[in-house]
Amino acid sequence: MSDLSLALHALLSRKIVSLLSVLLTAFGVMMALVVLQFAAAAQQRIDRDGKGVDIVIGAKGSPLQLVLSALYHADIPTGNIPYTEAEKWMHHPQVKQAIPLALGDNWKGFRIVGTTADYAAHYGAKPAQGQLWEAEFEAVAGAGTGLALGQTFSGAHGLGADGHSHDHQLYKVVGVLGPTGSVIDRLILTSVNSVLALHGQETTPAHEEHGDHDDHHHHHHDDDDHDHEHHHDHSEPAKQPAEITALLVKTRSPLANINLPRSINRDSMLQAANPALEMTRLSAVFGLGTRSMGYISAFLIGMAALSIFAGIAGSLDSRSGDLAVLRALGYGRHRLFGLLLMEGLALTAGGLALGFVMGVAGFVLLAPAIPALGAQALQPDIHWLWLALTVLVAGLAASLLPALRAARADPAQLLSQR
Amino acid sequence: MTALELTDIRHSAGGREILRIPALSVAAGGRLLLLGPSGCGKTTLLNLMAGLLRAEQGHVSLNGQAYDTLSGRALDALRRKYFGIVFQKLHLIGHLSVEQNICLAADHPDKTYMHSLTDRLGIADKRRSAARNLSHGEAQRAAIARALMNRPAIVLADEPTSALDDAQADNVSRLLLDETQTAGAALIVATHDARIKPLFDTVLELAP
Repeated sequence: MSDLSLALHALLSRKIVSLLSVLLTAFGVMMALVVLQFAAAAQQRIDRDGKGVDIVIGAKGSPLQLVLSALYHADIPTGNIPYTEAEKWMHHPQVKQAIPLALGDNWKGFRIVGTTADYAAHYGAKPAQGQLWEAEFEAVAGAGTGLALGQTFSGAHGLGADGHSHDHQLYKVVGVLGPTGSVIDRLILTSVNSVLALHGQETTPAHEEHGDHDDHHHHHHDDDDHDHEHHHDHSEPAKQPAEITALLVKTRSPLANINLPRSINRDSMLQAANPALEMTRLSAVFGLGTRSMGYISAFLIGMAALSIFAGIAGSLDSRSGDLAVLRALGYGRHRLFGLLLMEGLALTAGGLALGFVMGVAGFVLLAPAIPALGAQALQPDIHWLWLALTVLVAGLAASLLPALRAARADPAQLLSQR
Repeated sequence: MTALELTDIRHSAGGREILRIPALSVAAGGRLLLLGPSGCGKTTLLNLMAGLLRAEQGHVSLNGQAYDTLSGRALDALRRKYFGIVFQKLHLIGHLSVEQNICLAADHPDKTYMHSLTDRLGIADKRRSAARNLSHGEAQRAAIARALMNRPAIVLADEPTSALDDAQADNVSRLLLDETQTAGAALIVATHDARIKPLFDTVLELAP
């Protein structure tokens, strides 16, 4: 009979205590795994969606809100900005590329984004079916929206799914983008003027100056309850919009990432935000939650280690005779020590395996409920290995003391007592 | 040929000397009965012979190899190789099967030999039973099988008949004698049970 088999038989002889240790370990591992997965997915989403955008320009307000609304489509915009004002910065010598965005409507919760073809190109999105929009009210659907080529739909006012519909003007899907794994999969793209026309924004011939704009045009859709009176004129769509919501800017140098926002914030009515900076701030807050979950996981793993300790140490008295018999049968101290460690490791390994299964299952079940996280796929990484090693070391440490006690016991004395 | 030799052994417990053996030897295949009342040091003597205890004074040696020159690990290995032990309370591991209990005594158990042992001892049908479910008689036979499983040079038995009636005591004693003879092993029995005295050629009576 191998020592491993002997250790497993000993564990099976006290099923309830062993099961409890395995379950406690499994819960700790499961929680740690789910936290690790969601934290990794959130970070990947932040990195993936924010890649290649150095500055976001929009209406004054919260810079984090501007970044979240324009880059991650996870908040309401800070307002609209006059296109002429934005245009000044679009052609700034330090700007390499500027992509305009006009937000305001949605279809079943999927945001309708007025933009240019550069936006799709930025995320490497290409039509899997059809083509990009050309005329107004032609739309291109992201891969995750469920819209089909040729389908018509009306945009609903606001950025939530419960806004009133613009039934008088339908969009037509002329293209469906292939999946990119980025935020664009959950967007519907169209021209800037399409979005603005639905909301009565004036459009002007290209390069016409608009010196009499208000200083700050608040975004129309921050408040879904306000009264809407749209004056659409779709007969001759203009090339240049009166307003946009934001500009996604790629600069020519890292230095410009610092200098340009400073100039914009100081010298214009606009606001420029640095996404990297804002997301670092957000991560500091979000990371607190992740850390808390991490602490809870560590606590659970600690409890599991304690239960392993209690299970093995607690059984020593009742098993002292069995262990003494093994010594009498020629099992050395080191072999007995190894036997007890094996029991601890077997419990830990069992909990670890079950915890991984539960963690993976939990993630697979929970991920679809949080589509914005874009975390549908499991991403095993080095943290999994560290988690497994940590748990194994904890289990080993927990069984160390009982193993030492068993190895040091005097078999002659134990056999005479039993 | 001398197998086991003890010289000038003195051992105490709780400040009281409980054992004094000037000289004792057991030849290969020999039979020795250690007879004496409770507390006279019979079990201690068996433990000294098995290397489970080290003598405070004197020497124990097996085939010329003195125990006091051996490390604890070497003594464990010696015990595993040369000794089979039948404990007074049998000490089978309850959650293991009879077969598993018997095989614990050998590093590479010879299953054929284990089957022949259990066949001869009349517990072949209990091989897969958990030890905790055996009757006392069955457990005693399983303990004897375990003591013989590693084909030991010496079998030590501690009070194997103390709780048995005359017939059972005679039966168990004969089992031990027969099986050790078949296996070519020496047998040393420690007991206070004088009923089995006639079965042994050599008897060492220990005083309290």
